[in-house]
Amino acid sequence: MSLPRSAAAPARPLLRSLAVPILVLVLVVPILLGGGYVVSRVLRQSFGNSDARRAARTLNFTLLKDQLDEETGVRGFTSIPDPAFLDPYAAAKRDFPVKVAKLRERLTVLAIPGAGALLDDVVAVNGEWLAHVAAPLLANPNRAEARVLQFRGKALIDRFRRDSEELDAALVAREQGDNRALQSAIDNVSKLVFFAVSLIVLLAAAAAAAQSRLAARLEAARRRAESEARANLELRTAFETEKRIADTLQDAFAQRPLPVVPTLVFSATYIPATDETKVGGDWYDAVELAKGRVLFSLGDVEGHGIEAAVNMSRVRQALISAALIDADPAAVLRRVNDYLQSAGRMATAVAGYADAATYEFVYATAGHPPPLLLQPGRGPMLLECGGLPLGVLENCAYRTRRIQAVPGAVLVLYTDGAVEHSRDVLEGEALLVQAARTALEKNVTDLAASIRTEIFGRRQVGDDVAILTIGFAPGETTRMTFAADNTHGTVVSGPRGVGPKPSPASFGVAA
Amino acid sequence: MKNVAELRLTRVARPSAIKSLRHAFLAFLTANDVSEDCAADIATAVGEALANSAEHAYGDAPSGTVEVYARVERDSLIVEVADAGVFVERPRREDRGFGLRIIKAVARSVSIDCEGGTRVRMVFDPRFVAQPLEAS
Amino acid sequence: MSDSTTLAVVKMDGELDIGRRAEIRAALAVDGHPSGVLVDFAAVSYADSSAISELLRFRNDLNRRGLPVALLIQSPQFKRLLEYAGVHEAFAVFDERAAALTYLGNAAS
Repeated sequence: MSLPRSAAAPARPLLRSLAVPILVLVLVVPILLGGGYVVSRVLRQSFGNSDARRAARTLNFTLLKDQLDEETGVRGFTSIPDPAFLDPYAAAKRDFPVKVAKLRERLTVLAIPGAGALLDDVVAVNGEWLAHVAAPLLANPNRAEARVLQFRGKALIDRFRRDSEELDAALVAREQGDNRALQSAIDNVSKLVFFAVSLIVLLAAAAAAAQSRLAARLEAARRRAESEARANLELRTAFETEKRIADTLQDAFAQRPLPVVPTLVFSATYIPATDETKVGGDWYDAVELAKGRVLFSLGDVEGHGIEAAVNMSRVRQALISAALIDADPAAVLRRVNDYLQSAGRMATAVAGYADAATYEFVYATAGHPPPLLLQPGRGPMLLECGGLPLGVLENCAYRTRRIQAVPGAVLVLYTDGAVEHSRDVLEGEALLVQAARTALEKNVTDLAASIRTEIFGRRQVGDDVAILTIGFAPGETTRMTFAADNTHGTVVSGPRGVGPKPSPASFGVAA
Repeated sequence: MKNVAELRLTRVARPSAIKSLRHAFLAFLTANDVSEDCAADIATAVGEALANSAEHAYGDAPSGTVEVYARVERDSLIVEVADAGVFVERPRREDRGFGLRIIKAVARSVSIDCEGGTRVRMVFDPRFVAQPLEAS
Repeated sequence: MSDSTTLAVVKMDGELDIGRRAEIRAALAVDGHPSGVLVDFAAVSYADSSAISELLRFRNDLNRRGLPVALLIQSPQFKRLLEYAGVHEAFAVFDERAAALTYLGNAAS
């Protein structure tokens, strides 16, 4: 039993539902990495920049200070021409180019527009001051144009100051700009990260939802498949149980083998009406209850199929149990009748004994067709029957009848299927009698089967047919012929039949 | 009397409806010159099949229908009683199965087909009322 | 009313078929201790197996109470029906009321 189709399909939806998250992750991760890289670069640059900026500003101040120191030195020397006053001037002058170079380096790194020009101007101012102010004053401090030179010097130094301030302002502006850039970079990256993380969370949630939906579908499909499989198993089990019951019943209803008793000859046949139910309501039985004493019964429980078969089996058992309590056939039938009251079914039956020692048939009937007796030297006889069917009336009385027979006599019992197939029962009975005689004269081994064939030939059997024959073995020197006679006769009921005692003269001896 | 070769009747399968079906069937038999006693017995047998339909075919459900079909074929009478229920050869406790036994006693043959409903087919050998010779 | 000389009579007529089953069952009932029961079906023109079932149920009940019962049946169909059902030996069936009463009188004593 294969799983339903839906159970096989999920592989694709699974991929489909995970493809999008995977795809987006594939896009998001590089973005994050890129963003991280960008951020780190910006940060690095920013830190690098801030160092340079700070150094540049310091150098800028220092250069101005140096210039002022130089001026201070020259002025001082001009006031008092003592070389000791030139120390600041000398030191500054010595440091100035080095610092300019450093500053220029920084400014190059910072790449502030116009900063290079400002530095150049600063250098030019300083150069000009040195050349045109400091040098003449140092050469001749008392010069008459000392004051003019000092004024000129002051103007230059103002210009220097202005450049320096402008440079500092530019550096400050750069710092602010850098900070702003950094801030916005961080903001952008934060937004990006937030967006990316949200996206990841959403996708994770979506994937989880899809996953659980998928799991639920799989579960449902699995459960459906399970219950289907279980139902199938139940059906199969039920079917097998039923089949097993039917087989067991079949075995249980299988006929007992006919007894093997010296001087008694049995044959039997049973054909159910429908082949598929080989169990039906008809039965026959022959059981040796005591030495040489065989209980026979044959009957028909109303109904068909398993139910009839079950009831029939019970009747058979009840018959044997009753016979063990009280062997008299009428008593047996009365017990079975009482038993069947509660079964809700009726049955017809004939039950009795064949006594191999005395060549007697003793029997009783309950609503059953008359037994047929065939005897050598006498016409075939339909025996007395009657009685109510079993299971109809409570405390019903039956009659035991006896018939004295002879070696070679055969009692033929049958169910109504053997006679109720033709135009009317009388004709059916006549056919049965004829068939029995013919079969007997043929001296076949299976008399019952032969009788059935004679009656039905290749015709379809309409109803269940059961036939049981019980015969007393013929004497060794006997070959039998039967008088062609009337087919109806009765045997007087009573303790003993009044038929003739067996004598050699009553056997037809072959000429 | 004109022979009516075929009969087909359908009624609701209720016990109270069986009587009218049986009477109609009896009229059909009489119209076909079946002798009185024989007709009564055949009507009895058919009545048993109809009663079974009325009692068991549809259980507690509102009744379905039962159909009687009959035709004379040569010297035989073929009757089929059919319903759409399940033939329950399972009478109530007191019934014991007399219906089928009665039918078997009257009809030459009985067969019951249980596929998709129940069809009881009976073949009778009716005795006919002797017809006066036609005046030449 | 218990009176050992009282005969209980149950009478029905017409057609006793499955349509009248409940009515038949109700009619086939006798209380008390009559000396016997006469079931007068002389005016019954037809009967089917449901009538037989009810009659058997009635018969078993009366049996248990030790009451004899006689059936008065004139319809040939009904009589044949009892044979076909195989239960004709279960009942004492009479054509004439007088014969039935005689039987019951003898059975009671």
